[in-house]
Amino acid sequence: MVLRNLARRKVRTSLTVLGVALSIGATVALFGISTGLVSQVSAVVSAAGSELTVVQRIPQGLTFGYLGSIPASTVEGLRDLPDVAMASPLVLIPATIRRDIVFLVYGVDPTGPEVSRVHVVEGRPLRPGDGAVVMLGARAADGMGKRVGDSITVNARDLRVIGIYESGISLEEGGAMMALSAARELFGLEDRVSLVKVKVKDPRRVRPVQEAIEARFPEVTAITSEEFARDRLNLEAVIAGAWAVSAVALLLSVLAVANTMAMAVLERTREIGILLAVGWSRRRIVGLIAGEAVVMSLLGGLVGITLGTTALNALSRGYKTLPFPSTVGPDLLVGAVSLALFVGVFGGLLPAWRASMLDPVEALRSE
Amino acid sequence: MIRLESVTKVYRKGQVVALREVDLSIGPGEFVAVVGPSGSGKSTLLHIVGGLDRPTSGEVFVNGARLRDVARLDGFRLRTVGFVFQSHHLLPGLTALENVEVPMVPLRIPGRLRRRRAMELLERVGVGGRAGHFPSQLSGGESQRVAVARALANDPPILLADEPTGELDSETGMSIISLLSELNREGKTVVVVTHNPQVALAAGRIVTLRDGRIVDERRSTL
Repeated sequence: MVLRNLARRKVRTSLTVLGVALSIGATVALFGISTGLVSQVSAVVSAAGSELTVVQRIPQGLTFGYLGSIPASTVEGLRDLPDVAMASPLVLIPATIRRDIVFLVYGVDPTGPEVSRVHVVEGRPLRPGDGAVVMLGARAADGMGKRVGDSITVNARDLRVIGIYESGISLEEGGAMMALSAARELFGLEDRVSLVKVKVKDPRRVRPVQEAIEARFPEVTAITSEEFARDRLNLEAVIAGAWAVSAVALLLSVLAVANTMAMAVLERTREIGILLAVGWSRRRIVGLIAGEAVVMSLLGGLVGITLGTTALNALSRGYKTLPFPSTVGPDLLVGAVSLALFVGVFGGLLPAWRASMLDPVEALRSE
Repeated sequence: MIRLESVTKVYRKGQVVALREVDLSIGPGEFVAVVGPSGSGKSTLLHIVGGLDRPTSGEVFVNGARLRDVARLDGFRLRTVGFVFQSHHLLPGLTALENVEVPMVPLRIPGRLRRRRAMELLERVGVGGRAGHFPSQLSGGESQRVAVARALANDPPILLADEPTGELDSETGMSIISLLSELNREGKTVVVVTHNPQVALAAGRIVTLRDGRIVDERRSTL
């Protein structure tokens, strides 16, 4: 009966479903991008198995997306700490190639874990002594149409592509790796690095090592990869933005559903009177009207998930150097379906309650 | 079967008194016609007996239950009474068969059983061939027969009809009245509100209302 009633008003039902679909779609896309970014960034900084990320300590209030840098000498100092198993320096610079492509350049130790963990699919890996050459991520190579032997121009310097790598992290595969020394020179970093990945000997002793590092080197702070992505790069703000936009979109779709159902109740006042007269309970009337709202919203949710996923896939294909997740995780799917349910219940509640409060005698008389 | 004791109904707005201290007793298996000019309170009387409305004062006993004590009138309407209205009041989005199924839905009767019973009822009232049609595809008489089948859906002991022939030509109207008479002979207690004297004559007893009071009551000679 719910489906039959919805099918009777095809245009209005479709418009409402479309409205819900757009808001759920936008939500899926925005959360896909923002949470994808956080998980990608944390994946990059913890990729070599490190528990901690050591970055420059910066004054409060200046934290918005500020990465900073630390002296290379600190790296040696970190390695000398008794509980530290590995301290791997990294230069991380966003570079602009052409005006529309931003990608990340990673300056890495050619003998370090960053190079040994990636899978070189074409050409050769970085070697000690390499200068103005890069290993290009597979997605970046694909996106820019570059192959081994070609050159890319970064900061007005031509860098030859000597290898192509895959690492399983799309943010990394959308960038390029070059020797630490060459990267410092290219970006004028002198003897500084962006961050140091630290792996402790005993994973249960992360906390004391963190404290030891901060006590020994007052100019740095040691944080977890998750903290790094959320707080240091302030990607939390991106997620908050996604929440804000989604909240407005969802509120609008609640109103759209409520409006559609309120119109339905008004038009079908007599039908509701008939149902009451033949013995349907008020609770059953609530179920009928709210059920129609929920079915519409869930339908909108499913269409929205498809739209959002399609949008993310299109972005992921269109901008290969940026870390768009190509698949939507189960969390996001469950979240999107729950939001659709929420839209249906809240949109349907008031009209359903009004329908159930109708006086059967008066409802029967209405046209 | 049905007993009204000093039933008064006053509508909130405008102090309209629809019924004034009405006493009425209807036995099981009776066929009663309630007649009177419009505004005499006859529809209100039917609504109160059917549990669609509650009296302002007085007591209503139906099928052994005092309606004042019935907390949920929807359950009472579901099992004890079947309504037939002036304009058939079928749900336009459902077929004839589905309309007859509607009152069975709250009783959680399995779908197949529901359809079979609805089909039997449509055949019983003579419109079995129209089961798959929508109300807009049915004639007035057919629609009213479907409405009677719906009133019978949960096999209630009482049928209440409010001007069931009001929108039908006299011949079709009389065929609906014969149908109600048949159902009455099969044991249903039938109360029909009408201002058509011909319809009233089919009943075993005619109750006349004027200004909310019973002014005349007689046995039919037919």
